[in-house]
Amino acid sequence: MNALLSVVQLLVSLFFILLGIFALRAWLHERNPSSGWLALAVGSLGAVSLLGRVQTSLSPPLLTELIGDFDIGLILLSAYALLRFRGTFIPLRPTTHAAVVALLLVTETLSIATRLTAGPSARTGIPVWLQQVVVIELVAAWGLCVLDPIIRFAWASRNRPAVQRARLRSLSIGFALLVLVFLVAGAAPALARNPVVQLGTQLMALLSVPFIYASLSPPIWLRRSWRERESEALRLAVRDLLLFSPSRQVLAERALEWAQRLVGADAAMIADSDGSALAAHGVWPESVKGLLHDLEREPAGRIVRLTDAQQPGSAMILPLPLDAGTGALIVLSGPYTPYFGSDELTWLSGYATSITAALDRAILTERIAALERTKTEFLNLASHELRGPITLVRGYLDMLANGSLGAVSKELRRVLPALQIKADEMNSLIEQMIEAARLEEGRLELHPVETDLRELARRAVDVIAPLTNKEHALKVETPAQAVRATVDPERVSTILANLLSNAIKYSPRGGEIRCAVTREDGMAVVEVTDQGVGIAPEEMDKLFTRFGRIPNQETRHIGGTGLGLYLSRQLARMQGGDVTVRSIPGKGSTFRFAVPLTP
Amino acid sequence: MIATFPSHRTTVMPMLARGRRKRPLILLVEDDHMMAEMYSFQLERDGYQVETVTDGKQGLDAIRRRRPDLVLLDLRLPVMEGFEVLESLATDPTRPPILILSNYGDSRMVSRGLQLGARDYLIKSATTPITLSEKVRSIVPPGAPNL
Repeated sequence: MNALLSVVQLLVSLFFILLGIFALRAWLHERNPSSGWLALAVGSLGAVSLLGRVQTSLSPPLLTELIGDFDIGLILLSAYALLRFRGTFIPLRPTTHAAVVALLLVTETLSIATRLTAGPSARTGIPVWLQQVVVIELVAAWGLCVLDPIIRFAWASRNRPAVQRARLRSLSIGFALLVLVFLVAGAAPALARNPVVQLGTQLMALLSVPFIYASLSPPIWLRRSWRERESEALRLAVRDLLLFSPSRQVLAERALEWAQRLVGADAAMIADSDGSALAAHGVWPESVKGLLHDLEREPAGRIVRLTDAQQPGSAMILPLPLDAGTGALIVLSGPYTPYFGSDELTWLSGYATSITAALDRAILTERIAALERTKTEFLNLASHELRGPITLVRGYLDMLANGSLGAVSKELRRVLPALQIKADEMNSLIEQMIEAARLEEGRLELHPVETDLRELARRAVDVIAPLTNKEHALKVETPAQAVRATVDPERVSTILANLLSNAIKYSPRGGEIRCAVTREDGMAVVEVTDQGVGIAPEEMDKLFTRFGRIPNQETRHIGGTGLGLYLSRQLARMQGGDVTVRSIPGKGSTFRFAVPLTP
Repeated sequence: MIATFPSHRTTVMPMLARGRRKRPLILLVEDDHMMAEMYSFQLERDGYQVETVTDGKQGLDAIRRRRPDLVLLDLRLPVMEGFEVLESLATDPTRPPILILSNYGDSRMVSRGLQLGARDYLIKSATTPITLSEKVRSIVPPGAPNL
């Protein structure tokens, strides 16, 4: 039992000394007050246990006592240092600070005065009860100084990035275990002399070592495992970043939140290719401006030490190779942040790639939207400008045909129908362009009334009849009863005229063109069937897209804007229906317009 | 000059003016000269007298001074828009029938035009001089045709 106890005691000493060395090394590396105080807190505990080992191996009682006094001083110092460490994050009020210093000095003085470390023996002439009171006072003072940071760190760890949260919690747990050890040892000395209890307290002290170590300088694997849960959320955030691109500003703002969270940075900024800040969070020291140069030279990013910040820290700078030039993502370490290491740099560099892609995509999306607007505006303007001239031409052609412009020669009478048909065709193309522009600008309004589709079909066939030639046979098939649908009759006429004129256009060698009105499963249906060139299956998708014409050997010479079917389908869908097609290349096509029947 | 006329005279005079004419007067308010010429050609042929003005202000003046039997009014006009002309005449009980003849056929414009008292709304691209003349004839019978 005793052998085991000494081994554990030795281990505790060894580990605390190592912790002290680690803390010291961290402080030497970082040179900031917070790591300095932490090094002092942990280091003095290491020294306590080291002196404890020395003490037991020495014989002169006076020396033992001296070391014991020094020991108590170190214990109190560690509590003070931990409190100051807390003060670097959550400032300590001067009065509190003064009170704590006074309390610790009184405690140390009392412990020396009552010859506490000489042991509870009558030799010293100090009553045991007095010594016990002083011990309780000692433990209470130490506990007070240590409990405050423990609670505050546990509290502050909420809503922190995973790594910070874990580090703060480890520190709280580590010191909480030490508080327990001291409580047992100080408040119940009789119990503490029991070897089993002693072994328990030593094991607790041993257990606190990994926690304190993890908070002091967590190894990469530990940081990674802490971050694992966050990485899933990050993956989703990156997906959102790439999928939905609002303006670049909004995008940059969102990207920053994660960049900060990822590494627990205190401040973060995204600089555009011209050096201006697209988005920035937190307070920025002046020196950051000077960092935005030669970004291309280190594509993987770099870590820079800042000296003019409120407290010394470091910044990670990651170039964002945007299309327009190199921008940068900069994150600044904060008081709770560990000094950035290569692991953070790697993490952030992967994220920076996503930010670059998203920012460039946002530009592209904005450009495409602008282009789309310009195109619609152009469509609108051009079609309106074309309307005037064609109206004049059609007007005079009609007057010519009606004899208003005097007698028409036999030759002119022969060509006049062709002129009129082509002028009408041009007019309807212009109307289609105007309709498409309306549709895209959301200005298209429908005026639905209950209509008999048979009548619309008959009328459409009448209108389109002049376009056929001798080889075409145009037929209308309608049921005896009315086929009623609540639709915009003008728009449905446009759709039917469109389907019929397509059937004629794409049947260059003639054949039957059939327009059949039927009812099917609550739908009013008009099918236009031709025996023309047909459509290949792989070209079906393109058919209903805007300007989606299918030029091939046979149809190249056929005119059209490629708007007709796009408009027909959109207009049909706006009325609760659709336009669909089935076709066999070389045999012909059937276009089907369907809208809900009026009950 | 017309503004100095006592108001009762403006209600009597047009009747007289209209009654005396051999051929009904059509006022065409249209800023496109070529379109105006095309329409007047057909209308004059069909037995009407046509007077053309090229902006809304002139149109309003001519309506008050010349008291035409019918007005063909474009909407997009210089100086004064067609709608403004309609608004100025909205409360005038002696105003002649007005047909809007416009390039634009948005339902909002159509209903606004009709609300402001236009007899009908014709869209240019869907109207040829022949059909326009037929429409005019249904409102104002023509005089002796000018063949």
